[in-house]
Amino acid sequence: MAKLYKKGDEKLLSIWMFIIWFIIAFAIVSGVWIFYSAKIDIKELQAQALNNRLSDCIADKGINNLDDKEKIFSECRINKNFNNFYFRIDIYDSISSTKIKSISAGDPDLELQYNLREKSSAENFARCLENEIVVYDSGENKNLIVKMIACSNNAGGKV
Amino acid sequence: MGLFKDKRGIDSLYSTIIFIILNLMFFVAMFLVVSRVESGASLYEQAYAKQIVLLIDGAKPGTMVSLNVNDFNKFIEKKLISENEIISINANKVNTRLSRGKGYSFEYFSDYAIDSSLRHDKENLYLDIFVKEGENGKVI
Repeated sequence: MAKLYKKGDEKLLSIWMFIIWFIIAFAIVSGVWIFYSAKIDIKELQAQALNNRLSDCIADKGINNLDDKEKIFSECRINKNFNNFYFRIDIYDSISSTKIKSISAGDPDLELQYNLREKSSAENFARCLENEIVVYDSGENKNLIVKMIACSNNAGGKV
Repeated sequence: MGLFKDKRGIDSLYSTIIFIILNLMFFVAMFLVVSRVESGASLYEQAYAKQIVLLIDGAKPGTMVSLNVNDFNKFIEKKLISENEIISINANKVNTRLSRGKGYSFEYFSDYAIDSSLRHDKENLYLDIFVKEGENGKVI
């Protein structure tokens, strides 16, 4: 029995102890790292802000004054060098439902990502927000339906 | 006494002491790692950068927004960073920095000129954001 105890003492500081410590340390460090590296996703909120900006701008300036994307950039105070966005404005006749005009800017791939995302759950794909408003065209004396989609894939990151 | 006369006993005592010391070292090291990360600098940097971007993108020119940033105090008190280095807003990017790293950067889409400053009010710390007319930092 004494021999057996001696063997036990010798094995007290064995390599297995260090391996177990390493496993525990790895588990703690990776757990903490996973918890604190959580990402806060505001793509949808930014898409909503862009959509609101476009809606407000159309209401304030009038749809006839926003006939191309350069005017939308300048009148709606949107930075044209902003990379991770996309918007499209489709204008329809309210009676015949025919499309009169379409204005878009940014990366059209983002809308594609959004459509794909509805079928899958890709975390890094863009988020979009659709909106529809009715505006009165005083020149033509008729109502127009304005359909908008605004997308953002702004992920940000450590500098 | 019998323990010290017995070589097996001394060996056992030494290895037990070394085992306890190594265990203590391990747990102290783990505590230091966790407490260092627990300060949450990177999470605060990200959260505040995104919050500021949403405030800017949701604002109209002429708006002034005051954001309570008392969370920054613990980083300032630890002297990890000075007050004037925490927030920088230029070239359509908000950069927040609460530790010695380069911080977290997030882009906003608005074409506004932005002024920002930290303000102490009694025991609270506020970030004042002024949204102005202008393009890419140029004030009209």
